[in-house]
Amino acid sequence: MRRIFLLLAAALPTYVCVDAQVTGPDGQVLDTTGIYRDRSDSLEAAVSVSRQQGSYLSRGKTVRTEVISSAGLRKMACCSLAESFENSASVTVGYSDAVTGARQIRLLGLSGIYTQMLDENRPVMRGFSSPFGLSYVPGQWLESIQIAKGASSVVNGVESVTGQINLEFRKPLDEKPLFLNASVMSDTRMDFNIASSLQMGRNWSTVILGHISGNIRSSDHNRDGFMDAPEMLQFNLANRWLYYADNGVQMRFGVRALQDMRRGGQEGYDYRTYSIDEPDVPGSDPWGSDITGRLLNGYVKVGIPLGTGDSQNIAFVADYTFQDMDSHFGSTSYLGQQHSLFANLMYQNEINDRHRFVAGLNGVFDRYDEDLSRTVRVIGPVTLEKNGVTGLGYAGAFGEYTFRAGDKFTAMAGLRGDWYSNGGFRLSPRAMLKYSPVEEITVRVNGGRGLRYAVPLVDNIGVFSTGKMFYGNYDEHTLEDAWTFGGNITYYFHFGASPGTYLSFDYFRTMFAQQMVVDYEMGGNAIWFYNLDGNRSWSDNYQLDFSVDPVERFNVTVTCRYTDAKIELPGRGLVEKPMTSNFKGVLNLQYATRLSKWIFDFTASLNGSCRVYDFMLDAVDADGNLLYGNGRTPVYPLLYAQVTRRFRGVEVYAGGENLTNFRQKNVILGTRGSDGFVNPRVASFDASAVWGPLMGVKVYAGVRFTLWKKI
Amino acid sequence: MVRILISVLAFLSLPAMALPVSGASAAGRVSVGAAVVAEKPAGKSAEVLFSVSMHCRNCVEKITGNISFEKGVKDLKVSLDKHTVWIKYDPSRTDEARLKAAIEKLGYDVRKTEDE
Repeated sequence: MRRIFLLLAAALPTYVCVDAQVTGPDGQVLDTTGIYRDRSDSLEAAVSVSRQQGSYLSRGKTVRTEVISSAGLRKMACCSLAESFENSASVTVGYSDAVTGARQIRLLGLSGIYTQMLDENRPVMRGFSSPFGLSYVPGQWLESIQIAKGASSVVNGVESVTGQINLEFRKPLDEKPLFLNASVMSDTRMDFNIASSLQMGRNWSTVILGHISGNIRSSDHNRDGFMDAPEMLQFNLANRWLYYADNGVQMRFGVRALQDMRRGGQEGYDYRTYSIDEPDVPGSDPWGSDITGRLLNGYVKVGIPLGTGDSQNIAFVADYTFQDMDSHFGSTSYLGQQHSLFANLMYQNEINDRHRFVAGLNGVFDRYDEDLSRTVRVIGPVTLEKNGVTGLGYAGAFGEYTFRAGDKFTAMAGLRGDWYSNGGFRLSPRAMLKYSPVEEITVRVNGGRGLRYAVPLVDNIGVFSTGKMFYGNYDEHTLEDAWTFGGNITYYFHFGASPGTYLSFDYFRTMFAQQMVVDYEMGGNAIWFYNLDGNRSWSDNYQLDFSVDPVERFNVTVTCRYTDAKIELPGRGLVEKPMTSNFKGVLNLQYATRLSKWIFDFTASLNGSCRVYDFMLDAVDADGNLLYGNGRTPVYPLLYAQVTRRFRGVEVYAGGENLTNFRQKNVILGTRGSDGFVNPRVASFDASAVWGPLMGVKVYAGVRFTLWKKI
Repeated sequence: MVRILISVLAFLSLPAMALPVSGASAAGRVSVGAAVVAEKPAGKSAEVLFSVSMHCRNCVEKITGNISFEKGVKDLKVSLDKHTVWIKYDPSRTDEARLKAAIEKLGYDVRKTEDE
């Protein structure tokens, strides 16, 4: 078999690295001009040694950007995108609830819905895929992740409030005809990935990506009657193409199909027969969740150089996504379909080394078809019904000017004018500065406006894992409006074995002018949805990063983040935002033997406490002890370790997650029934107050096989 | 269990690790490895610097992922910005020509250089 692939690889003509990535000279921008230059990360990470740093602060980018490289993605199991952020303090990953397995990130102390997710600079994980989107991207498909904090380019819209996370996938031009990965975890989760990059002649290349994952069984370690993690099964397939014409025209297009099924809660749940009425025999009609998500995506990107050279070009990007979500939670059903269209037409002119501008037209349209039926017990059973079609969109023009004075100074100013179907005309300015007075110091400042439509129920999928009634404008799509300002100073110095030692400090503030507030504290056993409407809501974030190689092949990275997030609530004044962790510290150690034949990774994190919801103050464990007597969650540590052994073309790895075995044990809250378990049929039932890990120690092992193209 | 672990570690050739040996079969496996090491001449190292037509991070990964496992290679450093590959090797097991050919086989133009 291996011979066949070797022959196939040898038969294909070799031309190396025409390029892959599409970014501008600031390393931040778009997908037009860079079509004609080398990938932005090529010369970035000071590739002067044979070992690539796992994660690092980008030195060249105008906006403060943390890069998780392919080496960083191999530090942990990284079965999906969610796990890829475990060694980052900038991004915190948590569960939306204790039932569905939905993961949510937090950037700058705010929910991941305020972070724009990009798939090679195309907006993704919008609407119905936002709750589970992090699970929809297999970690092994990725080449790198770039986390840009604060306001960045206006070219892809201004849905980013706290920042952008751009995902770079394996490329058609990668010289890897075959990549295989299989891994298994002690909780019976198994992952299988395949990637094949093939070059066909001078002009055409493609990459095929496949993924299957699932678990054989789920367990209930804390014996609360609910599975710790849902039973799940996912199929994911993508095919991306690159056409590179001799005259410089580039076209990229691709398709992706996905199906994800997950069943959580109490074992044996069947939404077809479930009733809100108490069963005659306790436990005979279990509560649970049953969710099936399907996604179909297609996109095309075309870049055309104008004249000779690559100083002027135009580009067109179109992306269509269809999503279908059938979700059931006890006696609630939420069925939805979403059609999304994104189109972007850009013109770029690099006048000379100092001046460059981009101008273009951009539009986004989403059509939501929702059908909600929710029955909960207030006093007796009450049913909430909502169905219908909603169209949301915006369209407008943008311009962005960049001034560069060598490597010392870069200034970018961007402006968008968009007409929003639910908000009228809005102007969104953004500005970014980068200044390096001496080679060792880089100062960055950025700021600007972000606008996004709320999708209240989907943005807060955890609300379905409760027995609470919804009140307010949960069926409206408020146009959320926020400003983020901040900056960063990085000091590079020679210390230890590497010249790349750095110490970096950031501060960012996000202030909301309009926000969809989801309030668990306004009334008993109720969730209120309402607009901020003039009240204050902000988040301040401070972060310190330090990275050093004390000796050759040994890297130490320390990161500490502190968050102060406040919101003004009606009748309660200014309060700390609930369920928002106030700090996180991460220590990463990596040691590689000579030639990196053995790699040892260790990650420890200390996760700060958060203010709990008012209703949790009275929550007790099975023995009647108060869980949150001081109104806060405990501070807890997490440990991860992995050992990798590399052979030619093969990597074998084994590791452990959450080695301290810390778990949030009492995650299902509410009135207990005669069987000692929380009764999911009463209004006090809540499985959405998650602040810590739901699973204890997990160990895993896996293997990666890479076949390299040779001549 | 200990035997299995020792066998796995021996198979993976964990470097410079003194394995506790309790079982006969495990002892045999380790002593074979030690005998092989003892037969080798005292290791002298040589170094060579090649200028290589690489372009991107993918090239670095390809070169490190392959040349690291060439016979006789003891250390390797790849500089993308300088387009160079520095190799420290055991001259009793390989030579410059073989190493050059190994990089060329990956699809790159290679020439020996003295420039740092």
